[in-house]
Amino acid sequence: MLFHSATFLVSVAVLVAAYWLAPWHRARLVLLFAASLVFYGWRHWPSVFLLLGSIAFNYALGRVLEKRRSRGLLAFGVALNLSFLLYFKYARFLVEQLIHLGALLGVSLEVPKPDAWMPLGISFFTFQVVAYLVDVYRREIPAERSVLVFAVFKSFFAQLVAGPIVRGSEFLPQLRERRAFEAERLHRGAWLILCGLFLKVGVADVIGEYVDFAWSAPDTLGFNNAWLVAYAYAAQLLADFWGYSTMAVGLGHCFGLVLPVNFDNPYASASLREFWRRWHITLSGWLRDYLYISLGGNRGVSKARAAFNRLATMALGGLWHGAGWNFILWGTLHGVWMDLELATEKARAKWPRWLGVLVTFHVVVLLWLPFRAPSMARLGQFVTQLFTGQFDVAMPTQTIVMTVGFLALQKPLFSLVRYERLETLKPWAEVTLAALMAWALLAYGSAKSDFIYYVF
Amino acid sequence: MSSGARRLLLLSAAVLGLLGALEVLCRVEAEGLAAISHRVRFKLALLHGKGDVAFVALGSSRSNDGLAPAALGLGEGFSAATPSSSLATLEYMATHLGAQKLVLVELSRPQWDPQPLELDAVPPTDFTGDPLGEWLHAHSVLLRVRRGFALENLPRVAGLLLSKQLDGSEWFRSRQLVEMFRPAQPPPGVADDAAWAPAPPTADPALLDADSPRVVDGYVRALEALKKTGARVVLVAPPLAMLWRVEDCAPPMNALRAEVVRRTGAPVVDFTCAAVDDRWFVDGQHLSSPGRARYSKALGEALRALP
Repeated sequence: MLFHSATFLVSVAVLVAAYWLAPWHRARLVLLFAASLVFYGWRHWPSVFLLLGSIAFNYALGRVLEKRRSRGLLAFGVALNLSFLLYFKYARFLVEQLIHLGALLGVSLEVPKPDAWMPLGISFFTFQVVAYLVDVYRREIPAERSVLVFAVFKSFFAQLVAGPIVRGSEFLPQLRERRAFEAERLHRGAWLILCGLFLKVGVADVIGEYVDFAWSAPDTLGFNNAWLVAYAYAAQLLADFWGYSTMAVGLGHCFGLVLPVNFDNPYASASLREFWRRWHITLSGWLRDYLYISLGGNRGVSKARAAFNRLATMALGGLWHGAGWNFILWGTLHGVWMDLELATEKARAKWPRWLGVLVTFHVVVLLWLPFRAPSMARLGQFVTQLFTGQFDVAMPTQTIVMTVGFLALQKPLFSLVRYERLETLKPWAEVTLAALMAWALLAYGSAKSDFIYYVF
Repeated sequence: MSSGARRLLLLSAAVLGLLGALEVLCRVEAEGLAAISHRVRFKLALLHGKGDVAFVALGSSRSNDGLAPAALGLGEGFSAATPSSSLATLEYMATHLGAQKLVLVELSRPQWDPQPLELDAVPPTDFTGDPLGEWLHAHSVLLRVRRGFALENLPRVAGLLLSKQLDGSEWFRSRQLVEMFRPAQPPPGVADDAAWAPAPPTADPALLDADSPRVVDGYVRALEALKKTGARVVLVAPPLAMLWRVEDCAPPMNALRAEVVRRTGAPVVDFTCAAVDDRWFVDGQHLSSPGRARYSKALGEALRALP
């Protein structure tokens, strides 16, 4: 079920009413869990069994890990969770690479390509539960006693399929506690859902129509339109994922739950390291705490080792986004640029901030190209057009206006999507903005749909 | 009531109230909003608002840019030509035009495009898992005509109010805005008067391809619908610059136009192969303001010369 479908929005309204009318905390949790299972199984019900199995296994393992702090047990749990991710998401890619390698070596491999379905959000909930197991092992949180609380933690529909990746330390205590109804929280939730809907349907999908069209035949683009598509995709991706995350945070508020914020004006970053502190914040935090630090981080290791750790973290972060060389290339290039930034830190310190922002923004925009490219061949065609294409007289006016407008208005937009202090927005301003967003959704909203990060 | 509850109610009322009010408005003013939301319906609504006219021109952006009804010298006319026109547009127009005295039907390549005519806002491509969304799209008038609320379509409201004073050619012209501030001049030293002569297309049935029956049958249906209302129909083809002429005046294209003329039995005024100066055009296929005046004059003369 998609967040921006009418069925979902009306179902949530009914669920919110039932949730707050339920007199017992346990009943509320049962409602949330049942709704999450319906949400998850809506398009593909067999996935529910995978989710239920994962809940049962990780709940039990968490309890055992708490009693017996065994590194081997943790490794087993992490490996088992990752093996599902590996099978569902990467098996086909790995087999294809094996066949390619065989062909290069002159060996014809007759390996059947796995044809598993891809359970929605498997990358997100795998990372979430791995973090939980590691936290329990590190004694940073106690293992959850209540299976119901743990089930809701693992399956809460607002964050199940595309994050934010919620940590046990911040979410489990909220689920254990019975919350009192606060109209202010519900109000904030409704506002964030509307903002997210506008970003997704009114901005990302509208820009995405031309981006998709352009990427279907990049060799026909003029250089001006190729550059436009590069900027447009940067805008589309942010609006899409920020829109989704904002709706997720809003949905959390509707049930009295606080989900972490995932974006903080990332294109205003003066370095890639800063960018990753502002873009997909919960994934960056996960990669830092559970991968980079586990690899050795940058403390007490040689500079070369620290650089390798950064590169490996970013390359694996890239691979997490999808099974393809383009994602590995994208992540690796981010790692390379971060190492370059560190190597030139002294020189860069003399730059004015705007120059750092300008350079970083363009690095990010160009590095989105492998991320978006449907194949390496198309990526090559696109980059060729960027630098050697002819000038194309016909340019899509709507895409230009939307892209420039959205990128230029980042600061005010981020201040309008208020996660914490909605009461500081004057009521008349709120109503006017809400009416404008509803009108824009109506008049310009795209018919095309699907969140980009759903496939990850 | 707490401030949070009050503001939540205010927010819900603003959004749901706006959508509800617009849905009611769309149901009360269904025709007007449908006309604002789509260029084809809009031109038809303008024509119906204008009332009785001496002739109506149907066609693509080539005719829309190239034809000034007042300059034809045939009495008060109306241009119902639209950009992004297709064979489906022509057939829709032909069946919804109402009784007319004379209809000029463009006979050129854009007009026989196979593109379907999407009159309503396109619904989401995939309703999987969204039965309520599907139901809403099937029952809401607002969702069908929602494009009518786009900023760029709002001036059409004024158009509908002033339809009696308009001839339809005021809308959708390429570079109209630019030429309002910087009127295009006739090309200096141009001497192509002799080229502005129509010539009927050359028939050669052997050159007709597999797509030809679709085009010919579409024209036959459209012209039959027009003739049923008592209209006299003339096929007209606007001129083109060299770049486009080499394609549109190629033997297979000529053969197709000739086949349409033969099957419909309608008189034709065809400028496709007229070797006019390229400088009359803004982009090779759309006439500039002076080009429009020149073509309208030549077309008017040719039409008046018809038996």
